[in-house]
Amino acid sequence: MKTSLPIKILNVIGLIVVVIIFAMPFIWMISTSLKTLGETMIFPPKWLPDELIWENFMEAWNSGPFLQYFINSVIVSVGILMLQFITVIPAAYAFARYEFRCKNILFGLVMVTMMIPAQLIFLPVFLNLSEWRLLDTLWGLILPFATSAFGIFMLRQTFKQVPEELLEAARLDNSSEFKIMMKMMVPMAKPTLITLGLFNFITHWNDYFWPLVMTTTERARTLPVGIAQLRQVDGGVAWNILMAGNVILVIPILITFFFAQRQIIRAFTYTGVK
Amino acid sequence: MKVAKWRPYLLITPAIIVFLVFFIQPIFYMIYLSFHDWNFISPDKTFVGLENFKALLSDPMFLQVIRNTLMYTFFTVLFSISIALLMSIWLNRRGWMYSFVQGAVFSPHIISLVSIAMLWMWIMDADYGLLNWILSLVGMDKVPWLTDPNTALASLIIIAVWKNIGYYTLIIIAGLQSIPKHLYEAAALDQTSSFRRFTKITFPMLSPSIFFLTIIGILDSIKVFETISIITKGGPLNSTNTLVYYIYENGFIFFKIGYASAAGVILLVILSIVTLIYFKVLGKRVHYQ
Amino acid sequence: MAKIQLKNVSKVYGNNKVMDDMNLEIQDGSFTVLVGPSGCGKSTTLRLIAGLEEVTSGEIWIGNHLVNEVAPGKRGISMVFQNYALYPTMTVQGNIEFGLENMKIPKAERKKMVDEIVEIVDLTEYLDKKPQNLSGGQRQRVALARAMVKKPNVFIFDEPLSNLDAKLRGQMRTELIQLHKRLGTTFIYVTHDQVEAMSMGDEIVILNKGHIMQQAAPMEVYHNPANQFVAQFIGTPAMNVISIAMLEGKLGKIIDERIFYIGFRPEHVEIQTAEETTSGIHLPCELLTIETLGSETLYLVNSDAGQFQVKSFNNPLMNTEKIHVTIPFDKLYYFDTQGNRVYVDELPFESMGKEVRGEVLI
Repeated sequence: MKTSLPIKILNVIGLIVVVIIFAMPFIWMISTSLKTLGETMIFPPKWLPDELIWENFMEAWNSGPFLQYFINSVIVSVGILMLQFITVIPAAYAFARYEFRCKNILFGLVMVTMMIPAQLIFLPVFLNLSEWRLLDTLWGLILPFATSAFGIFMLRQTFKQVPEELLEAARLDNSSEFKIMMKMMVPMAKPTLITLGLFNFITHWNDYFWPLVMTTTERARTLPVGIAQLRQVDGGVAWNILMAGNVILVIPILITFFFAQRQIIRAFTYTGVK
Repeated sequence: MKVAKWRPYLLITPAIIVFLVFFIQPIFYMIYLSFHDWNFISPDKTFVGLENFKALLSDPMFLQVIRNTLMYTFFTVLFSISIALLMSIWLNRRGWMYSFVQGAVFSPHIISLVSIAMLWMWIMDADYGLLNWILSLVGMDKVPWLTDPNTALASLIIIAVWKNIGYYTLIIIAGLQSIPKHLYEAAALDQTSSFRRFTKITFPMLSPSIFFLTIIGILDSIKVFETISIITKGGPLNSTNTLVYYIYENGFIFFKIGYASAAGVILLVILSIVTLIYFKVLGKRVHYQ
Repeated sequence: MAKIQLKNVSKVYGNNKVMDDMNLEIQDGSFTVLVGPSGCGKSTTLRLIAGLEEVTSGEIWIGNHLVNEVAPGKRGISMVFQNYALYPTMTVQGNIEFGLENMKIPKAERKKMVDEIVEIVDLTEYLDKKPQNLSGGQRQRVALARAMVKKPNVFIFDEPLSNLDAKLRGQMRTELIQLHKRLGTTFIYVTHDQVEAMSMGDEIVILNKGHIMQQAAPMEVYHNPANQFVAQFIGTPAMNVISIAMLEGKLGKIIDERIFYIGFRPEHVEIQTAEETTSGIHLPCELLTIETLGSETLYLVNSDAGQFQVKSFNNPLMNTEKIHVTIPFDKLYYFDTQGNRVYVDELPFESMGKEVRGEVLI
């Protein structure tokens, strides 16, 4: 069916409006981050600053121990990522490929855990961590996420799709079970592992809730918590500095998204239902 | 194939330990605490039975918190799904233009809620915000979005919907693409109108996706914390205080551990019911294939 | 050296007994084909020998070793799978080398062995390709090379040709036969295709419902089937089997009371073209369908004794409705009520005297 030209044009205009609604706030964020404080307090607002004030970024960065926050963020995100691979791969493999007693009950436990949000259990975990002297440490931010029910669930689906014949061939080739897992299954699950890795990294890089409740000093705080504190600097809110801080937080993610859009979308929209 | 009996257990042990220590034990610990009175500092936990629950349910503030949470959840999910449904039918096309728009719409979903909260705080600023400027263009007065008890919760819902839509849209598009083409071909041969095509084929075939989104949406919205903690702190006048923020306030600011735990148990009950419905229906399958 | 023996082997899955007390001996150096309909237990037998499944009871011997507790990789067996089961993340070289690597064979030696093998299967230029980029026939060769490189005592093939098109299949069949001749190793080959079984094996084991129906050389199986199942399974089209009651009046009085069924192969039925006939059962028939296959013609006919098939190497009979056929007495097979073969020294019924029909329809 052919669409008439006016409708086509209307359609394109509609698409542009949608993009504006979703992209404009980010452009506004960047624009604000380069303004002087005075330029933020004008109505009607100015779209572009007269002069690009790059110093805002320095000011935001220097208004707290941001290097520390940044390093903490990297350690936490990467640490969680690595621990999850270590715990998730074997568990997913066992659930996908072995029969054992209580398998269904144990997998049920994984599914139940998948439905427990951090927001439900933070109080008792906080009390536990304080008991174990892990409060305000990076361990307290990493260990609770050292495994992922979602990851086990997703990787198990992938492992299940590998034909049994391949494993049998490997066994006839005198391969150890460990080698089968690491040399055959893991390479075959590479797309899933990349997906999972992206999902985890972005989720924990962005996370604000857990580091907020599990830290009491700046020692173990991460970037999002640090950025959120920017607004409490002086009496009034310095929007230009605040937005500069947020640009620092957002840009790495947006750049990753730009280059790995397909994988990231696949990671975040995985429902397990095919 | 002969496999040592202990091997699978060895493989799952690390994961299971983490689950037990950081997810399962805390649930029981929280239930235990909800029957006690404790201020975190004193060594004693006093058993008080159901007192915490009684106090909660007779506290008008808590009742308002519940009301806020349910309103927030209901409208966030409702608007997210309805708008996403329309968007997905519109955007479910091939071509770079559409995939670019899909990517743009999705981008808020991967941005830290900290940035989203602060960005919208700025956009919704009563004096210098972008939103009030747009309103002024069409001749409307400035709205004190986040500082008026009447509009604060609605403003938070707008932010949540804005963040959610991309995700919801892509899930529904995936659902649309899984509808077999031959159904539409058969409908075309039967001279079905496009309205009936939507109500009789598209919508029923989408019901698994929509059901999934409803559940995910409820689970996600009910635990809202970040935007509230950063933007409103539950105010003004308690109008945006929701369950998780209330637990946080009572536990971390007022040190009423037992009381906060009791509120946590109520959250647990709500989440359990929603999850149970999910698995029940999933068992029956909202499926037409 | 590598004779294989199954002694009283049973295999149970849950409540389902797929193999009951099986005894099987596979001679060293033989090309043994296990054949039977799906679910007959042929694949289970194979997997038990390979060690991919555990026996429920009984013993499996390879050479002089009881291998019940031996891991699959340590049984000296190579297997070629139906879907090739090539490791998709490894190159051709990696696939072939994988088993050697696991045997801790030094790299230089490995390289020599791989080169030697790929030379034989003609894959030298594909060493660095991934299996996904190969054709079906090439994948088949990689699978073969991977099996051969380990120099096993026993080769096991699980329907390896079923994914190939007809032409390639014929070619691979010949190559496998030649390969067996050259290597002189024990081959165990599973298929559901009796043509494949007949053409490749020097020994055929016919299985049904977890039991061995007959084990013998191909021509022996064809000429001398042990029971009705084998008689009807081997040969295309299948042997005609008619209840003896249907032939009342066509035969003399039956002397041997064990006989319940009479069987005869379609290709042994003679279509009467002259007055003189062989001594046999004479039946007037009505032609129902004709299938012309070029060198031969298949007829489905109906007679007083019921429908049966006739295979003829003469030119097809077009525009003919009625024929007379003769089933020679010396080509008859006899079975009892259980379908077991009844062996007789002479005709088990009284001859009705030589009756020559004058009526020639063609």
